[in-house]
Amino acid sequence: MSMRTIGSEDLLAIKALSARKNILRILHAAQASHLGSSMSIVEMLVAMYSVADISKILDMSQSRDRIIVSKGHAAAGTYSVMHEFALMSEETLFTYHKLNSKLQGHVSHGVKHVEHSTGALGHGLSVGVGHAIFLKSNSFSSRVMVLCGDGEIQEGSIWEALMLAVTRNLNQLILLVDVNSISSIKGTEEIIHTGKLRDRFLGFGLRVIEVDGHDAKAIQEAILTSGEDSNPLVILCKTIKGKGVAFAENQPIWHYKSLTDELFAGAMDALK
Amino acid sequence: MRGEFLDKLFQQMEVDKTIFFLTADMGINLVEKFEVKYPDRFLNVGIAEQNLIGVAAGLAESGMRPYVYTISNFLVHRCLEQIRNDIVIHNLPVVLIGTSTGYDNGPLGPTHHMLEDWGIISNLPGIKIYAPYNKKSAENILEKTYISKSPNYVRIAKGEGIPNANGHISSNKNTKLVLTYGSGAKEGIKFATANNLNFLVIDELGIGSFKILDKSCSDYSEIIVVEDHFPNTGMYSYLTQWSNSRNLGIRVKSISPKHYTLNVGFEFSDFLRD
Repeated sequence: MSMRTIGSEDLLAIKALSARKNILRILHAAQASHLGSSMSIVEMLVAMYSVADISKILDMSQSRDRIIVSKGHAAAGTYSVMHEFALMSEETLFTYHKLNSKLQGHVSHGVKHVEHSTGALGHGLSVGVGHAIFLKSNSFSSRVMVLCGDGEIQEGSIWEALMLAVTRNLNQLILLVDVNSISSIKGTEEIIHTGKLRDRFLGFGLRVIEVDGHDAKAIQEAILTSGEDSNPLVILCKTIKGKGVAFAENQPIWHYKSLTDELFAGAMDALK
Repeated sequence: MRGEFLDKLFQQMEVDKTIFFLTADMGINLVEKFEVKYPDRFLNVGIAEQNLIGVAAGLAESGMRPYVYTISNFLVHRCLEQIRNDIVIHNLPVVLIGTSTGYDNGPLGPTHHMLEDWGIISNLPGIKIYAPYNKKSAENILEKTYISKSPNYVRIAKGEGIPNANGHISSNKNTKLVLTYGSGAKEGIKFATANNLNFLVIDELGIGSFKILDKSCSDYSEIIVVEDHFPNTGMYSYLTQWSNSRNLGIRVKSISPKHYTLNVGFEFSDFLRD
């Protein structure tokens, strides 16, 4: 039985809100960091998992859709959304960052149904290219969806992978870029000028769609256009780092800080 | 040795449809036949080694058996993070084939000298390291990598290698032995012969060598390691660890490079003067 939840806009919004609350809960409980990155990618992950055939991911079927979160520091966001799609129990989710838990602060393949461990940036896309080559050469129509950050694309390996993906017409490969415009300690444009990202990707031969990165339905629709031509697809998702937590929005320091009891209570209230 | 290793791999690809050959635009007159016969299981990723390793990881995660070929320096030095994170931490059955070892590319300068490659790799727990010394050894190693379910690094020297791994030159048993491997073996044997010493050439390095060391080296009072690799991460270091862990008290000496060189014409025999 296929387990897709493409569903309504409302359903996607409910999942996103629920994931955001759990991100706050697990980060607060563990006094862990990376709140900003986890919050900015919630709708992206909801869209990615909603188009995937979850039953095949559960079975680790060779023809499964692959989801690779290359910005591995957004682990709290990744695991919270996986929980929304029945890929992780609540009990497991709430062990996040705690002693002896498999849920470390970066996405790990030690956790069931995670495709690949990440943490050092610029790795996930190459791995995704490997998966996409396998799917294509075996005539599987499933997708490889790789999520990376807009700071991450400063890594040269990203562009190595894109050149090969275009050369091999890997149109089942989709790169979703979290364009929250903040890198680690500063705004991305303050560090490295990328100019118009769209033009960079177009120049490399990819098909590019720009969407509101907090509109899960729009991201979903963009994903579903993959395979329309022979080129791999890049979806530039314009997001707000820390989305939904007013005091953390667009503040680089929330890459590093943890939530006090007071801030946690205020943030939870604001999400209601 | 390189040719034999790749020939045997080529034959194996006929039998096992999961073997996938990758190169980063290296191997002229060696790899072309792979592309011709197995276009769906051959990939030249271009001069992009970081991507080479990541793609191999993705293929392995999908159930393929990637053999990844390029020159050792580009493979190991550039890609340590990819090898560590994407292959070894995931314990994927990827075989890294690094060609040109030690001073194989002597006149090309230090960027092309491989003097620390396997030492770097050996720091990663769970990867096996091989260095064939002749055709038969190369074929045996291919077999071992083929049945392995874990990462492997094969350090293949240029040339034909040496005829025998064991040399009983000295009649004085239980005294001194020359231990050597890979592209350093010819010089090691030369040194052993000139000094009337027994020698042993091994083809598994690092922790994986301990089995053969237990079998063949325990009775010597002094072992001289001759290698074209820096000693502090090379077999000198591992032999010392082995001797210490067995409480053998064997005296271990090193004949090896100790620094980079900017001169053309640096000879292996120069190590003897260090």
